[in-house]
Amino acid sequence: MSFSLSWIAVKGPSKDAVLATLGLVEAPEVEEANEEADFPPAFDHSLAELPSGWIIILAKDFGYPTPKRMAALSEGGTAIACSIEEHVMCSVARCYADGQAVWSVDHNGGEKGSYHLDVAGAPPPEYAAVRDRLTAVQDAKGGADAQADYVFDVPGDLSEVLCGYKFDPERKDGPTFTALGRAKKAKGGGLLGRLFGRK
Amino acid sequence: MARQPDKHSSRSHSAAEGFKAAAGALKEAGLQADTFVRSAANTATFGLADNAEAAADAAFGGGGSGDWAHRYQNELNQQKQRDVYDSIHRGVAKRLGEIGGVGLDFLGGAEGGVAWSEGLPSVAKGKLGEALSVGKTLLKRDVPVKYQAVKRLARSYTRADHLTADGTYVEAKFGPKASLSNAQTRAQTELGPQYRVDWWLPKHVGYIGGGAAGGGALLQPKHNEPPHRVQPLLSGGRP
Repeated sequence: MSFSLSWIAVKGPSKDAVLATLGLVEAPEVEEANEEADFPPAFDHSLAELPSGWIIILAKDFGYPTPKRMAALSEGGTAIACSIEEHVMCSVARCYADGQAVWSVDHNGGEKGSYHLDVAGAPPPEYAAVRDRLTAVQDAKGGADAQADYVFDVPGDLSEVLCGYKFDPERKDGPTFTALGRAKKAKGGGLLGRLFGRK
Repeated sequence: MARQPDKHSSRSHSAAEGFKAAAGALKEAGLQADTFVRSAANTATFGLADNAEAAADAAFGGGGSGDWAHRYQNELNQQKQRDVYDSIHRGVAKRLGEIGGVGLDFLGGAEGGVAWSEGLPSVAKGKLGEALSVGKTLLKRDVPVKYQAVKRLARSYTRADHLTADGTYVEAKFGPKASLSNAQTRAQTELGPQYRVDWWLPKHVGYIGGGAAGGGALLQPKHNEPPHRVQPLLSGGRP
């Protein structure tokens, strides 16, 4: 499962505000057209609402949580993003609050080895527990020579601890996602529209 | 969409079905070959296009790539946008006081395929690894018949980078220390020889950039064992 994707969890802004910020709209008809909808992520962009109030945007794009998007989404609230690239075993989580970057946790297993973690800013207290748990698993499975990179899951697991979501296609109890599509631009806003009185 | 040929079911096809599937697969293979060629031509940005094209010609007998080149150029353009994002993200990390580890020194004026690929951003390395694995499949006289191929497992499923006509699910890894994910180890255990993992290193890109892709470079990485535990077949020494 070499996934290359990302998700953004937002708390504070309403769903409508989140979608407006991203220029996306709910498009359930997309689901019917996708023959592999059972296998997430089935859509380029999709949305789920958690009972805890977090809104999750899942994107088939490692680079979707740009600083600009994160800053905009976190205005008046908090946005936590996680990106994973399994070909190179690279994962990164970052948090923005009220438009400002707060922290990031990066893992670059493909280049720097299974134990690599870089932390920027002030990560939440939960980070230490997640790091220690997965580092212990890595130790137990053979350390740097283990067949798998368990520390790769630190950013994703940290996201799950903080907002209640981590992309995990093996889980059966995950939230239900709704497909999103690009919002159409409003018509009549151009020069001709203004000249002829369109609103 | 091309039929997903499970290793066992594909062998029970009738001759007509097999021919039809093969024709579709060959069409896809054209795209795949081009994907590989354009990946090699990616190095053009750094002055290595001639070598890359020569290497691709050596591997695939040459020939223009026409529309495929255009498609791949679009992909490259998208990739550049992501590179910009990565650079910005790193800037954010710097402002926070430390530097994130998402390899980003892409614009540093690298020379040669090795240095160039070492400096690529993560997503680009992932794409490069996928393309190299497609090249390897073709050189093994097999053809990719489906991308992001889903295979049901006992408790879950796996989604491989591509499925070959021979029924092999192929995963690409790029980087000297890239291991499998926990879920991928389960897929490897369950699928056994039907699951091929290619570990690619910057030096493989260097071979291609140097015109040494006449088959050996792409066939070099030994699958199913990561590079930090396997002696490379041709050059020797730990990467």
